[in-house]
Amino acid sequence: MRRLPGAFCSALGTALPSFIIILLIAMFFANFQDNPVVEAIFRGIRPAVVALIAAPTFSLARSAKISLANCWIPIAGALAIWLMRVNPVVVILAAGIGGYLYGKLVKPTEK
Amino acid sequence: MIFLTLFITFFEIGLFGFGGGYGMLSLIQTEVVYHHGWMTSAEFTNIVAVSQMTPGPIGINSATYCGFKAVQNAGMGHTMAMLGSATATLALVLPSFILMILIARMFFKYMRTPIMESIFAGLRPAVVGLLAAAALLLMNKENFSTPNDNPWHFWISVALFIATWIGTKVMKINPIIMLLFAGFAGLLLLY
Repeated sequence: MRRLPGAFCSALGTALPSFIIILLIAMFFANFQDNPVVEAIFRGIRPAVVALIAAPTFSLARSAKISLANCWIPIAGALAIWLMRVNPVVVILAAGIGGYLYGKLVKPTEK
Repeated sequence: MIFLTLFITFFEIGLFGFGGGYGMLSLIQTEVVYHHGWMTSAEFTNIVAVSQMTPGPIGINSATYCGFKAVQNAGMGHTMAMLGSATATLALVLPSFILMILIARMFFKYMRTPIMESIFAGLRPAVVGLLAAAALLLMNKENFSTPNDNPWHFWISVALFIATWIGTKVMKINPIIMLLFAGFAGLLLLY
């Protein structure tokens, strides 16, 4: 690998195929969005997609070792984003800073 | 100006896209649907569906699509819209590209320090919340309709939701096949 050029080319190579596919689909949608057949197919697909996103939440919770002690973090984060439209960036920053402060201030006093 | 807004928005998404993939969905959705209004929630869900069926990460796919739509909605032609796609996609990958070049080595050296571990102890559970938020944000009337507006559409949607959950989680059916089934059901029942 030639360092920077290598990194650049591999990044481009990964992004380019999906870029072209989505570009074609975006153009396709511009023409077919009001087509009743396409719209009916997507009316069926959309709830299925939501299930595909909802289902892994619980397996991710298991692999992230969510316990009774810290389950308030994902719950509070999700509710803040969902109901209060809090920007997820704020949740990420708060979680990172919170974790840092916890490790710095609280954890040493726990022993 | 639309190009600058696109760049800043997707740079921000690329920078804070912790958890990658689905973890980014609530961030992308908050920005492009609720903040900038570049697409409707239904369009966003369509793009997630398309991303499921095509290779490539959801972040890049939505950046490409949003770039195109945003410029098109601003009343410009296809060529400018493609340029919008390129701008958004580049902005999305730029932060991780820069970050990995600058700190590829430092990253692995400092990864195991207690400070990094306590930061990640806070981030890991938060990413679970981000994923839950993405799903909750998508459970809206644009994707499911409502029992009052159109009960038939609503209950078919709920049935397809449960069927996909059980199909992929319990029966281990390939998600793409499951989406094709759902599309076929939509064509038969919701036409």
